[in-house]
Amino acid sequence: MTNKSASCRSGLCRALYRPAGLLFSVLLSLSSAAGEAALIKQLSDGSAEERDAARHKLLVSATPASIPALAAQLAGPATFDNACFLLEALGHPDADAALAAAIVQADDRCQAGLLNALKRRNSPVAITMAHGLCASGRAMAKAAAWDYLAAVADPADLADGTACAAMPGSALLTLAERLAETDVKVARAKYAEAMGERFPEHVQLAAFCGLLGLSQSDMDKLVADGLSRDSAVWRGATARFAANLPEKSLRRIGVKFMRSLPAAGRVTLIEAFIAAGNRNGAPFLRESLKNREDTPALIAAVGGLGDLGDASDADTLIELLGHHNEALADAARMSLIKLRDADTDARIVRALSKRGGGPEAHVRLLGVAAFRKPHKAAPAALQYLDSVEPAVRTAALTLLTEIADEKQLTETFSAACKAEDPHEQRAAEKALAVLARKYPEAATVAVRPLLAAAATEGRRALLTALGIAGRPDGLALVIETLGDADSEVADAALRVLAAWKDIAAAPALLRQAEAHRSNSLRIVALRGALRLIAQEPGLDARAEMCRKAAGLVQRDEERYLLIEAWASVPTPEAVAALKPYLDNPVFKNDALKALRIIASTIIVDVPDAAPGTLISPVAFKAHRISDYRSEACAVADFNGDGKPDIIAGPFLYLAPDWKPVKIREIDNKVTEDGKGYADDFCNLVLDVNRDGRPDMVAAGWFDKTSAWYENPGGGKGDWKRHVIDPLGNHETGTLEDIDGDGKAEEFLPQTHVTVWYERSGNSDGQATFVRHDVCNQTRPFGAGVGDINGDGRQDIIRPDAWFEAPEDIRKGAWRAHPIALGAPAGGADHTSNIIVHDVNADGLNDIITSVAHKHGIWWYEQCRDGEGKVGWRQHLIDDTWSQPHYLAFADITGDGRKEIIVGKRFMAHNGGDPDAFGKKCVFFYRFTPSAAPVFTKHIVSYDEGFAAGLNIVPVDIDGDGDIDLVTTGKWGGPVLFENLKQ
Amino acid sequence: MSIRRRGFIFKAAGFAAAAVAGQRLRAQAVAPSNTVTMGFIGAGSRATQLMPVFMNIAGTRALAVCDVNRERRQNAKKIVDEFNGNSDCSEYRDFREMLARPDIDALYIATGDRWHAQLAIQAMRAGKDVYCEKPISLSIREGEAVMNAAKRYQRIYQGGVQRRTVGNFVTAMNIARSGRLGRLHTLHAGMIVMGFSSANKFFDSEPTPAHDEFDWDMWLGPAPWRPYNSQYIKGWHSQYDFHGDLTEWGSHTIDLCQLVLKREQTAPTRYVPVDAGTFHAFYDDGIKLVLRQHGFKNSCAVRFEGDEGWVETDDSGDVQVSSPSLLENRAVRSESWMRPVAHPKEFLDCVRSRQLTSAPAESLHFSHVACHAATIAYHLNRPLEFDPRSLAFKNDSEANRLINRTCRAPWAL
Repeated sequence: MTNKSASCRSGLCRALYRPAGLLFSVLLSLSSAAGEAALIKQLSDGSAEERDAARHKLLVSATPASIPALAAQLAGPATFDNACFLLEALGHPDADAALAAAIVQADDRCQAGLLNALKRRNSPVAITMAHGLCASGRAMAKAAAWDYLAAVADPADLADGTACAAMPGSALLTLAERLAETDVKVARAKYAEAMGERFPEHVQLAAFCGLLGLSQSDMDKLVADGLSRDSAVWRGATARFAANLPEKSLRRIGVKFMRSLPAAGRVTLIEAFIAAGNRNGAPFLRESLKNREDTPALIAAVGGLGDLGDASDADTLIELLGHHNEALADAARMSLIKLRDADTDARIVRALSKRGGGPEAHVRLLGVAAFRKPHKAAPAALQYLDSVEPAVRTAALTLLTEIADEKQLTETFSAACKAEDPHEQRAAEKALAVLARKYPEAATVAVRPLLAAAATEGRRALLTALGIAGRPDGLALVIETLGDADSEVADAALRVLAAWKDIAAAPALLRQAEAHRSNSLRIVALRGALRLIAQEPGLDARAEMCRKAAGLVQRDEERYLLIEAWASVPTPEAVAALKPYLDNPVFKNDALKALRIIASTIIVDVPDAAPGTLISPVAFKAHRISDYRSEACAVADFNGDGKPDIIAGPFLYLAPDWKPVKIREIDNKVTEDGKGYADDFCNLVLDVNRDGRPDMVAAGWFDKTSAWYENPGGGKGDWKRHVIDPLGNHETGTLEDIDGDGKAEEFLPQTHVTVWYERSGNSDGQATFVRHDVCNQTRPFGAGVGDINGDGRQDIIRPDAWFEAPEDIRKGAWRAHPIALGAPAGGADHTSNIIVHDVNADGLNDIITSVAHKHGIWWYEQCRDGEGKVGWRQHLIDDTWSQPHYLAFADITGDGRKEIIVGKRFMAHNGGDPDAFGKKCVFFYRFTPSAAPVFTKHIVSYDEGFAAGLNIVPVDIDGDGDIDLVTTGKWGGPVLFENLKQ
Repeated sequence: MSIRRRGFIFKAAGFAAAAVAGQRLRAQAVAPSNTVTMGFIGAGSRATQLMPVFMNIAGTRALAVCDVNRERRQNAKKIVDEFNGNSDCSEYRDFREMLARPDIDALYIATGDRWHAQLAIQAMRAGKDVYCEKPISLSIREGEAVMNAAKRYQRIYQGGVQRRTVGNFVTAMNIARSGRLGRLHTLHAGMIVMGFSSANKFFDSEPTPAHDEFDWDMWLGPAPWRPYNSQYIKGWHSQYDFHGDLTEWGSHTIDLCQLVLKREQTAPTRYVPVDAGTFHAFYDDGIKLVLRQHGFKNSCAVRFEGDEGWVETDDSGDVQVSSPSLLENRAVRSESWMRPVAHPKEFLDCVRSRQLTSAPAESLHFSHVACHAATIAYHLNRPLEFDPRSLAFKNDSEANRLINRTCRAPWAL
């Protein structure tokens, strides 16, 4: 039992399991006679609970030694049930004797119980008493006595009629079932008796089925009898028996009785053949077809041929398609659809060619063919196209839609463009559309001669087919038709042209947009052209078309399309054309969207809402998840449902509805105006114990300790805390790739000293961290990782020194080199995290960082002097706002280059930092690595109540393929900035 | 029994439309469209979910309700009367009076588990067709008796394992049986709870209510007698005497595993407890059945694994597969377990046509054999060998005493 408890992870299931463990472990250890006697005593004297436990234990462990004590308990009304059950389970002759002996004194209910127990034990010790009870007036005991005798007594003693004249039906059936194994003759007699009038019908039926099972030469007669009954229950049971007979026997029965059975019985018999599922039953079904007068049986047989028949039945079924009884004709149709034999198709094709029967038959036959799609039927199908009946022509068109190939196109199209009645027209349109899509070339060829000859309605349909085919020849034909004398046709051609799928139509459309006689069709043409412009491969040609269209646009409806078209032209001209629309509230959103698209290719020099910002290639929508004032957050699929969840401070917010679950306590003293701190300075995702569930690493300033919290999985709360290290004040910390394995799994805290941690296991196999000391000198906060000197190893950078990674990063010494980051004019100060990236594309890694509490974001260009010694040149990115405490670095525009995402750490020093009460903001800076990189500044969120805190997580949280942002701060978060790019 | 089943499980999909129309046709031609008259036994929460489903299926008429609890009984009568627009629905405290009525064709049994087998047997012995909620039995002996009664009296029996006909489960089974997963080697049956009712828990006795108010003796039925306490009535699921432990979910999930292997007349032969939340069983050819509480998205999860892929589904209605191509050309439809319609409708169709339902007694008996054998091994916490032919454990007389349960007189199997 202990091994089970130990290996059970969940506290809940452990709690659930315990009762059973207790119960059965006690029972297994019980062996002494004294223990058994004590249990027997409990069985009579204990509380309900003790009695129950004693019964459980004794059930699997009682020995024959307990029989006398249990026998005594049979006499007590309160102890009877348990004693009776335990004696039954004991399996010893003395137990049987004890049960039998108790019958004499027992009351009605207990007598029944005793007899039932003896019956289940198959013990004949109480036969005489049972005979006596059968004649008694005790209801329960009497019924149990009959059951007992039927199951246990020597059948010979019960065989004579007088002994059991009053036997209840169920007992009689039990007796017959027993006899069936020893004496079939007597068993049959007993079944026959149970079919007697004195028994209810369902007992008679059970007896009848028993008799069927034992039937000999009388089997056929019995089956016929069963099938002749009025009761569907009775017939169904007979059919079930018949369906299991050898095919020969079933067929014999069919031949003998088919004609004489009542209608319902004939149908049931046919059902039996079908249920037997034996294709050899088909001849019998065919035989039933001969009697054309017997409609119900005929329908059943015809319906069955679909399952059991073969191609040889196809002709008969085809003939029935024209039958005046619709149900019959329909059954034939369904069977023809189902017939598996391949030769069926050939017969259907032959029948189609012969064109026998009336229009109803034709419609059904064509319908069957449309279902089976025999390709050889196409030539035969063509001849139905000239039928005088619209329904036949419609069915033929439907069939040809499925099976026609290039050879039948001309004739099919020719018929289609003559369609008259509405059903037929619908079928014709479908045929034209499907076949034009399937055979675009041939369809275009087929249309040409017809277009000249057909009537107006037909020509319209043909033009639509040309549009669907979408071939250059077709386009020429459509353009030619624009000048047709029939103005309805010419207009239809213009509409087809306006819906044309490729750019080839655009020049013609622009011409029509300029010159067409009808104003409304000029608009149709212009809309068609505008829709296509983005498809034009040449940038200049696109610009030219936009210019031309711009001259033709009259209404706002087309201006929207024009704005969309300009979006496909990434040039200053397009920006200039779009700019005026920004001032018009009607177009502002569309113009902004177009400018964003252009901004993803070129710099769009149009200012955005915040000072120094330009229109962003991507827009973000803020979703407030909560309003809790703490400063660190983390994102991962913590509950294993495939969707990323958010942790911020003490809460886990579960996607997709962000329901908060409390996972831990933190010391939070933040006031409503953002003063004070939550002692929670980083939240980092790492599977510390490698159980496949992401855990969380956190660290505190005030408690001077880092710790990890074990994820119990399933979105559950109360995560267990494990201390990592009481190292000192933690400003914050990051996960970095220090061992160069490509995974950022090493913990780099921002503390006064310089250390890093990696995951490990202790001697008990439990997860823990190992600390590696780099330098114990006190420094400003701020840290980062990257290869500065190009030796392929990951160096560690602090604001006033960078540490060159030794060959053995765990045992070797890290050599310090001077550097100064985080203050204007080459000074050092507390920085944000430090990013290492080749900003100017010269092959040497540069540094991007910011001052944590004041004004300034910089990049530092790495220079080498003549001896190869590393030096740094500082370049300002932005110093117009303060407290940029964390830099995220990710490709949020989707252009393959990373952007710097950074926001204000609100109230970082409780209002003591410069510009502490400036507008709340999150920005991103975009640049292309090059010799003189230009940084453009864009808004993620500005002056709408959201800023940042100690980190910003870039992650595709909604799974739409672009990077969203999650952050929180003392303004009350977390917030999700949804990237609206995709 | 080779008569074909209604329902389209495992039939080729190609002719579905044709088959539907064909059956409609046959039904018209064969069955006199007589109304199926119904009685409802048990009127608790599950019953009130399904009663409207049954009554809404065309050709059904509800005549009577039965419950030992007067309040529930009257509530059920109200539901039926409101539906029928009259006040004719009869109410019974003692089901035997209802069974004696010749005008009732079929019964829906939705009592507590302790009554399922006993009621189904009594009903079939009285010539009624039965739709009985799962589990069909509390012991291997009970299941056997249900199977024998259905066979002897030729009654239509449908077990309430509606997931056998719910779209996403059918799709998963069809994929597994199509051969596209290769040879199946491991089947997972989701359990949610295991060991929930491994023992009895007792409450202090309370005054027994009046017979007509609440018939406590009849509520207990074949289960061992104990003094009345109202907490048992809502909390019977956690009592060994009233509940079959692993049958709670196994009657659905183990059942689907048996079905997917086409093993409807046998059961696993080796049962191995692993830990409190995991249990393994093995068929004689080595195919493994994993019962587990954890790692599934939703309730009633099953997962079928073969050499070349896997498929998994659950009550969310989603079907997950090892390769997206397995789901090509398959439209997955689901149906809530709260209001299954296909399964009850199939039962009523079969009552008329006398064809075999998709969850008949014999097939269910064997999947319950697997559930009961697993429960016994789980409770004894030791591996057991089992012989599905003789329905007995090998060389373990203690385990064999648990194959049966107490059956308080006068109730008998």
